Amino acid sequence: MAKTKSTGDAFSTDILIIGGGFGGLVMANRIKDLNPDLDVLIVEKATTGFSGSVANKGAGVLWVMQEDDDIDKFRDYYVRNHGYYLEDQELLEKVCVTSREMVERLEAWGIQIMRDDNGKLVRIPELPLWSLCACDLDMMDKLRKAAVRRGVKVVDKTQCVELLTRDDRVVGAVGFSILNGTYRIFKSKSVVAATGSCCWMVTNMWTSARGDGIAAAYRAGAEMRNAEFSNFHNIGLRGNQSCQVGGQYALYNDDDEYLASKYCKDNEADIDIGILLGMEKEVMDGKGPIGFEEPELFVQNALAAGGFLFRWDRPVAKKFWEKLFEKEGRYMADRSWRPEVIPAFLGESGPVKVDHSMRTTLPGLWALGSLTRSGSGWAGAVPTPGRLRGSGLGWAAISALMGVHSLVESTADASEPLIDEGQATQFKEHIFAPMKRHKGLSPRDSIFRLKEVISPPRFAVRKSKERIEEALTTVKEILHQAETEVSPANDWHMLGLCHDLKNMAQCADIYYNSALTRTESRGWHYREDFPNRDDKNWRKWIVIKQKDGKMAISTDTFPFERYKTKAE
Amino acid sequence: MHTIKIDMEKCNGCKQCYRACFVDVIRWDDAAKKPIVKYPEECATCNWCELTCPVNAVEVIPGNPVPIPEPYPKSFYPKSYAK
Repeated sequence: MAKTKSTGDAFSTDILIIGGGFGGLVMANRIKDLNPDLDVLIVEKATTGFSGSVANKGAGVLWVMQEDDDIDKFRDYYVRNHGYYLEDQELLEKVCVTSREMVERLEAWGIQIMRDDNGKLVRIPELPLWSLCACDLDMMDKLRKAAVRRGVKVVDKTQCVELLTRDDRVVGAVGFSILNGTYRIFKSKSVVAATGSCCWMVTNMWTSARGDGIAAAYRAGAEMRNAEFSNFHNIGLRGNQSCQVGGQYALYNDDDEYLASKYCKDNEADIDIGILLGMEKEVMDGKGPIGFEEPELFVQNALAAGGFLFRWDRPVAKKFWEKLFEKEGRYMADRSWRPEVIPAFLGESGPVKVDHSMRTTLPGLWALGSLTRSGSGWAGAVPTPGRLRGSGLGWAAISALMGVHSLVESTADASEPLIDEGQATQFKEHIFAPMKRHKGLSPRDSIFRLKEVISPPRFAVRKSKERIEEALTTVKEILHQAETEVSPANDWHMLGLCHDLKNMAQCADIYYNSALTRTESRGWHYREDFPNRDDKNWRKWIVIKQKDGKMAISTDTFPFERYKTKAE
Repeated sequence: MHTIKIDMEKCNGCKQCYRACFVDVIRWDDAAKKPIVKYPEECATCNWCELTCPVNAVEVIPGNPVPIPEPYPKSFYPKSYAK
């Protein structure tokens, strides 16, 4: 229970999990498997079990490497076609192996994973190197109930803003109730950030991923890595943001030319950056707009073939997707035979650097799921989901399973943490400072301005020094405005948006500085001014951290010569 | 902007829509024991409030087109606007 102190409501726990999405709930349940005596508290901005960036608003698909899937073949394929030699290949193999444990654990907690009549996980024949199976969209509810039943405590509707540190160790977090503004202080032996990626609120279903945990970890001094890979896209219908997964094989320019034959390889597992560069080139050459022909979606497209979403018997997912499609049909913005499509920016920035046990570079702080996808190093030169559908949800669970042992062992040995009361008071003043500005810029307007330098293809797809610097100038202005001019107009929800704005601008600052530093093109990082891959100079990771209030940029090398998949 | 319509006559006060909303669009009126659609600007049109309502009192009406930054503005891509 919370104790009311002069500064706010104070909570104390052994392990604090920030974020009640899929990864946070898997972690909470697994901690209780391993050590039921540890107190676990989840603090969540919305409602634990309904929140998270993807879990109950996505396809519910899981990428799994089954026992008879060949990890060596998969690694060779992935390194050569998705990550372009920028992976931690040993971690990639560990992720593959842990995906099997993920299935075992989820089923033990009552989540049904789709299997065929022989008990094998169902798979898509068009994707031969891995298994793409699925669970129903009630898995979050089941995980929440299992966690609560086992004594996990939950504090919902609370936005965590800063991490508490003492002697360079993370000892908790602070935030506020979005309902009534109560200041909340969480003291904890260990902290897990499970807050999702940063998607900059551009595309509707990804709008809750606002980089809270990334920015808080950065401000506390944690290292970020591979942040330049923060620009994932789908193909989307103009006007209603409906993403057409696999849509790259269904596009035509205004001269009726089929684009996939110009810009896509045959039977790609998922969208690559080439089609996005191609779409922009067509529009630049006067051959826009780009049209989408739905029947073509089912040609060459592993993910659409045979009705991807309805392949499995999933009552809740069926209800969800049928409702979504019904609404899209009824309220479609463009009803022409070939509706116009645009690049649908998702982002999925996940640069928090972690080791193979999901420890960040700050003692006492673990991180898991989407906010670590690039930072962990296994993904290589591509953002979440790494052109590997089902691996977003999968990574949330897999990373929790990879991190839980070190987390439980460290917490069991840790002494009662002491928080710095002065720091908690200082954070309180800072968090509520915007409330003193009764008038000013609307955070919604500033968020839109940020999107203007994040999502258009000339910034998000085809980068150059000049355009990155242009974007960074705007990002810096927005960061300054977030601290001085943006006003929540006496409203707690809007105060949340003020902090979202600041966090998203900080994520943009990290992303673009990393993109500016990588003077080559590789995977989803395309530089018009450096169009070729440069293995001699750039087979390394860019690391960014905040030191003495300033951004410090360096590089990490990795033991490529030790890895099994060699350069071609 | 998107619209979330709640039929207060049908609403049984179960709070499911309030709990389901992951972007704080729907708040709860403790006195009336009914939901309030307070911040529709942030609605993601996920439809979970509508789907979880046991008495079909909720309807999400997408307001399209959704305002997003223009991906291909005329000033940078004049040729496709010249036709």
